[in-house]
Amino acid sequence: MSSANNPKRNSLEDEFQRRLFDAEARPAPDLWARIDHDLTVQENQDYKKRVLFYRQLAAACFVLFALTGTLLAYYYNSSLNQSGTQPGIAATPATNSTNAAITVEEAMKAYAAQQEETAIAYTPETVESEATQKVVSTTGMQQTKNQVVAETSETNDGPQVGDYFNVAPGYSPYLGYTPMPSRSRGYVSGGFPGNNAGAVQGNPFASGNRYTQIITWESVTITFGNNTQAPGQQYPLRSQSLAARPQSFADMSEAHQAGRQQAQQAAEASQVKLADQQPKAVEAATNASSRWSLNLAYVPSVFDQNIGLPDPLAMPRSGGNMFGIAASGPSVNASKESYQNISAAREEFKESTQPALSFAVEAKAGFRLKEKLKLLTGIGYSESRSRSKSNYVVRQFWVKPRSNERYELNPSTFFVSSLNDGFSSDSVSVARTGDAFATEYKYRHLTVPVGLQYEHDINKDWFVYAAAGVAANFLLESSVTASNQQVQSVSYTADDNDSPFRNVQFSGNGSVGVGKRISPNLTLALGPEVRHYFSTLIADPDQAAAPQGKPYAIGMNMSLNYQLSSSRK
Amino acid sequence: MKLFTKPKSDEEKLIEGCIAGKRDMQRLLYDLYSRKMMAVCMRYAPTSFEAEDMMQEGFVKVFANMEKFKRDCPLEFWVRRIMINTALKQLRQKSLMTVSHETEEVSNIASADVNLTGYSMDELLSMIQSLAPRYRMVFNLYAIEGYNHKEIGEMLGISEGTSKSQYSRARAILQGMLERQDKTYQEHVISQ
Repeated sequence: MSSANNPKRNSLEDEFQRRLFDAEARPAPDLWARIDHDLTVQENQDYKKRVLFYRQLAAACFVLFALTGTLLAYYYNSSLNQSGTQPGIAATPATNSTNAAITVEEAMKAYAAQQEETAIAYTPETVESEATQKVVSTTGMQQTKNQVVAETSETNDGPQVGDYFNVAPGYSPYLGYTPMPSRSRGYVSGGFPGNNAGAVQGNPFASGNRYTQIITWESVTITFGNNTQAPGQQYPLRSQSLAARPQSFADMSEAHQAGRQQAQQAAEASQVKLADQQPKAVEAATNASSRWSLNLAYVPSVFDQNIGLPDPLAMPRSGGNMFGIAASGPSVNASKESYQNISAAREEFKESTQPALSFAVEAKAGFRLKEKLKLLTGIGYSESRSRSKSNYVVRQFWVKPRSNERYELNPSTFFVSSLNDGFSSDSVSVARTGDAFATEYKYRHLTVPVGLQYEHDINKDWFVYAAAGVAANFLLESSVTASNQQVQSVSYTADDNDSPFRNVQFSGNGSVGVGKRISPNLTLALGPEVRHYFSTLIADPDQAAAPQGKPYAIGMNMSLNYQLSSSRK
Repeated sequence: MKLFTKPKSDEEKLIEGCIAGKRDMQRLLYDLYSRKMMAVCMRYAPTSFEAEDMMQEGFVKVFANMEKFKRDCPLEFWVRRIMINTALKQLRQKSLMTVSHETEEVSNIASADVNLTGYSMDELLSMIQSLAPRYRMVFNLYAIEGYNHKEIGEMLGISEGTSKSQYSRARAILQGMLERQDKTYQEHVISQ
């Protein structure tokens, strides 16, 4: 301030300044209560803005999760459908379809039997050209020196080492047909009985020679060579009939080539049947192979905080309890009327307290422990509300320590006043108001649930479930808000030392219901859920005047479950 | 790494507590300055009720803006400044200030010696409160708070000349009041 450099000041200004600059005046006793109320209102407004922001954020997250889940479901479904349209399935004529169910193994066996019959009837004619041999090297098979030597040998009419033959799927010249379900490509290696490793430059069917075949849906490529042979290896003997006549293998292979068209028709017919059965097979595969899942749950509920108001008869008449002071007589406000009002307020509270709409949202990861049993854990948020109407307030009076001056603070709800025993007002009384006002009790928790869920299929699309678990509930905020601004509202945060509420609560949760499979990966479940807390809301119930029980919530669980890694084969 | 930290003063703890929104600290600050600030508000407000309204709004602003306090002046000055600004704002809202372009020179006003020893604070306050709002504001800001007319003009959104003019009128009115009071007092003494 610039008074020092003000040249035009004279005695009047100086006198006024001397008398009034540091003057003091006593403000009204309730001024602080008004300021306190304004600050509370301001904080509530800030809080409401934050809540609005968090709600919008939660809604956005939920929409994002739902969209992601839908997209993933769509993507995986598309992938599964594409696997069903592999060559040989999509190209199958519709006229070949039959209604009989058949598995891959059965189809392969039937096909093998048919091929074995036709193989005897056909004469070997063709051997693949040298140009196509290069394909072998590009498939990752190792070529040996022996193979190179075999390729340069022009005098041998039979199959040479390094030659390959295309035969029908599943056929191995020595092992016979080796069904390989759920594999579009595979390698089978084998050999002919005996230890004659020196026969590499001669007949590849000689005992001791090795061969390798690449089996795909479209063809089987066989390469001869003993590069993979291990000393003392036992060769399998699964098709004695073929092993007994190895010299006819080349002919037989060519016969397969010639009869391929005929055989393929039969195979296609079988594959059409497979395609018909595919959704079920995929579902079975999903159930059999996926262990992890994601679960989003929304549980609208009604909440009972299970806190009453103190019975004036049960309250101590003197000592620590504030109502003891109010009811005991000598205090200015401790009148008989106040005592009667406590009883009336208690009855009114009991009758008017109603559960308000509460909700919980949870995002959980599921791990399948057994076929029908799943472990679920994650994180969640719950907002529990209850409300009541009242005609009664607690009037609070303070006495200044030095001046012994008594003044009144803004009245508070009876509920808040009864939450702790160490109330610091010098005197209180319960008074009846002209108009009833509503009070809302709200508790926001961050939850960490852990639970088990059992699912039982009713049919292909529907299932029932039962879930049970426990949750750790971390209090984020608690508030008691009166609709009348003259009545004090309170709000406590998690780190507020003044909060009478318990910071960590454990609860048991149980739910049963039905679910529907929207797609092989996505299920929607619906059922009632009960959440019961293991302890009271008040941190130290013995110190509170109000009678208390353990709170609980009953709601409707709506959850969306997405099965991960379902395409594993 | 900071090995030695300067111990925090009580005022610093008070400020930090208020910034953290601790109600007990806010109450402490209120108890510390409420009487002085009430006197400030009484000088600007026409009645004690309005003074309380000013003070209520002022303290809410103090707590809401505590983190903006730069600690470049004593906390009391900062609180007082907020109270004054709140008072000016309320007065301007309630009685729309008429912008005057009167340029009467302050120097023309008689500057006889004044002794206020015989007056109680309530009497002085009631004299100031009886002034018209615009005179009251300018008089308070110039005579008691110590601002010059340029600063007052900026604070009130008026010209420096207008500030001087209004101050001279306020001063003349107050001097008249004092003279009348003195005269009445002397007559009363003589009659006795």
